[in-house]
Amino acid sequence: MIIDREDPVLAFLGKVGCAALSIVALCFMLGLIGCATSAPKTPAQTVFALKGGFGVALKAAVDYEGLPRCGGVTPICSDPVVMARIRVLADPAALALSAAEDAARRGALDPQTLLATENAVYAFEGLAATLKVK
Amino acid sequence: MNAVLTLVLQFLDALPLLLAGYEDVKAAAAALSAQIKTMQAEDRDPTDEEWSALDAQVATLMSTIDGAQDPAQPQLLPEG
Repeated sequence: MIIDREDPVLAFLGKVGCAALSIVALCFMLGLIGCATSAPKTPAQTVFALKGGFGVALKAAVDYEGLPRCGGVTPICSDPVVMARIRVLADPAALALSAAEDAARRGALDPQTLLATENAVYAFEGLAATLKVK
Repeated sequence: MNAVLTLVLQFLDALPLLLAGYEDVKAAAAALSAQIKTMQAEDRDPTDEEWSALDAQVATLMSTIDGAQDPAQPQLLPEG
């Protein structure tokens, strides 16, 4: 069974299916992250929960990266553009978390550092929402 | 019709991979939630061991993501 890639209808269906299922795949995995943490009570618990949630999101991203690449007729696939975006958002989140962890463990976490860390982590975790617009 | 059937079969082929990832993420989220609840119940901050374990986990995942440069992305490769 070979797909006729010259057929415009099948080509369109393949592209739509690829895009939709890529998004579904990532949303499917990222959707649970919001449930990952209970409300923390101390600054250290807060940063630990943020970093743990980031780790769960990273796990989902690694799983997504493990899917076959989009571009052919694979219906469930990972988009290289999405992967690049994941990397762009993951690096600043990881750096912010390291700074926040250092501060929290010294008992010196200030609100600005925490806010910046939350923003970086939530930007990464909100990738699925960004994908819907794509 | 054969082409549509092929797409459906490829979807079904990829489904176990997708579900395995879902289960992994679900388990990681549940473990984290339980860990935070334990800290709260014991009224304490994360221990050095807990921080170290989390740091190692995140570092491993970050190295995987950073190392997953796709050769199909010429825009990410250095020019020249």
